[in-house]
Amino acid sequence: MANAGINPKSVRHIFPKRKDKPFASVSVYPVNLFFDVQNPGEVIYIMMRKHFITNLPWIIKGVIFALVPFIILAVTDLIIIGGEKIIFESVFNQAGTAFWLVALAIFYSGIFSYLIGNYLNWYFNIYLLTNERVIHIHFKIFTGKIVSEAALEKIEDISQQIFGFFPSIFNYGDVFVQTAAEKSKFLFKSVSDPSWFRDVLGDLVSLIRKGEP
Amino acid sequence: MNLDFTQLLKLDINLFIAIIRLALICFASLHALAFLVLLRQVNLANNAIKTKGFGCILLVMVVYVITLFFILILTVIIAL
Repeated sequence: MANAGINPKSVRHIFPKRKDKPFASVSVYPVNLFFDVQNPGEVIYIMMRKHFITNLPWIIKGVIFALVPFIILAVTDLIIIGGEKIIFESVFNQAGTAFWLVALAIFYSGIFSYLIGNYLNWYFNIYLLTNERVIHIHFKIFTGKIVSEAALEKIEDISQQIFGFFPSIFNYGDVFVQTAAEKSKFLFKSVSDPSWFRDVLGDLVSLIRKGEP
Repeated sequence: MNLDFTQLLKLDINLFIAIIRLALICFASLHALAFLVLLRQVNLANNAIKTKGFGCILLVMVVYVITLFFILILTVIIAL
């Protein structure tokens, strides 16, 4: 939690200690993190991703897809038409066991691809807070890359929202940053502990205005 | 008594299996190619943002793409 207060004296006052784990959704003073448009002397204070719980929908979908063959077999076993059970004997015998094993491998590799694609979408959707700016780098897997940034001294207003059942329980939400530029909003979507982030961002902006870091 | 699936739907069993074979080969080829592209994109993403834990992801991706090509070859051998 931030303990910077209203008038922080230094960056160390705002971010007192390192918090950095691989694959985490929030890292403070991240080690070994660099980005391609980093200016000389630019220091990364925070690296954030969306809260991990936002991955729950595609994880659940993946599990359901994985159960589909078993569900189909169970359901067809229960269907009786005119007193007769449905069987797949001719289809299985005609194609052979090896063929159906390969078909099953392709089906499950499709599910794994769905999971890995979604994970990479989350992993490479990164928000950075540096001593100069806030940056959002988003690699949309299979489509492209989106980069947006806002200078810290141009930030005018910061607001947050925690809205909904899961955000309230797991403490994540959106942080809106209003800047002086024409395209005025910068959105940190579904970030962990938005109250803390809004607080430290506000403190950093006030420190920048004083010409401190 | 049991009712066979193909009899129920009045399907020509040979045609049905031929369609499944074709569909599997098409899907396996597109799948492997798509992940080859994805591997390149992950590499580009890493050039843009160098993060901890990336080597692990790249290793998983490389192994997975090799597996996909192996499945593709197996599909072609078994299906044709």
